[in-house]
Amino acid sequence: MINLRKRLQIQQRPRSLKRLEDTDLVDMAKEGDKDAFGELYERYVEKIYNYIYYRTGNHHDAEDITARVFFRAMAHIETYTERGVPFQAWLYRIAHNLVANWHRDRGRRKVIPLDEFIATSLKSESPDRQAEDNEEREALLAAIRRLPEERQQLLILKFVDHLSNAEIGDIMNRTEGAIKSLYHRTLIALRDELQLGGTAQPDERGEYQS
Amino acid sequence: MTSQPNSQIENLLTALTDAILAEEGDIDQIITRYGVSRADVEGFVNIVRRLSTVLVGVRPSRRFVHRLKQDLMGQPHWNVISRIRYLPPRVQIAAGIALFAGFMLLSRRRLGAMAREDAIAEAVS
Repeated sequence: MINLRKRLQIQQRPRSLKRLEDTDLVDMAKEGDKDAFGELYERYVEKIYNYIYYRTGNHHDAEDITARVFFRAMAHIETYTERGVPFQAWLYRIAHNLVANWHRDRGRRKVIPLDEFIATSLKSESPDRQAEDNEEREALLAAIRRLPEERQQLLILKFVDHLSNAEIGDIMNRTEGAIKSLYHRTLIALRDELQLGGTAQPDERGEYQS
Repeated sequence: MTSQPNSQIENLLTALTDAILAEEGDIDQIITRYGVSRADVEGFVNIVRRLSTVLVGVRPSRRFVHRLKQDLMGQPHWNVISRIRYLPPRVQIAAGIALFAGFMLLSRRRLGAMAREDAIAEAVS
């Protein structure tokens, strides 16, 4: 009877963990509860993967770095204290550092190479429309690639991971107001760049002189 | 473009982006709420729409997500195998070479010692 009750508790556990807040799960994970860490993993693996995929541009490195993010988080969760940085932001910061190391090791420019994904997403459209759309998207992507790194990061967090300004602020260590302002300036830069037909070069702040 | 306080435009852009990403909410209503004319923000609306179609989420393979969870959960924290598996390829190769070199060095020393012992035994006999 006791065994049956225990077995039932174990089976129902993942469902009950889903109802818990991140902070509770983190506390449990700190005490060595692997199921709690597993639940945190389920919540964030896709977002972290997306972020890394858009920063590296290929699935192989995205998988490799995502794995390292979670192994590092698991190894250091005992030392994590919230202090204004939510768990989600902490994970993104680990991912950001590992991606920065990846770029440094390869000496590559930090770009968002989305061509592979776009090629597959356009297959269902007619050839004329496809070519037109492809051209437009390429122009936009080229403009994004020319943006400073922090603006690219902001666009990925907002459009790919659908995070709020406050959440992005936690990750980028800025206030919500600063993120709003940075977003405004990023859109102005993109608009100006697209109006100039991609011939302009941004200055050190990422602004285009028209 | 009529001049608007920056914070008002910034709040409007956030509201517009949220509505476009969530695919709900009337864009014109939002613009009216902030007291801005459509023409003033048309360029931004177009860019946000285009960004929302280009920067879309990708899914990691189910196999990868499942295997990584197993790796994370199935082992008592991370052991040597999982450490090596998730190291960058260059580091993996370097670790392999270092292990091999260490093994060769030890074997050579052991063989040298055995040869010396044999030579001493022969000399004594």
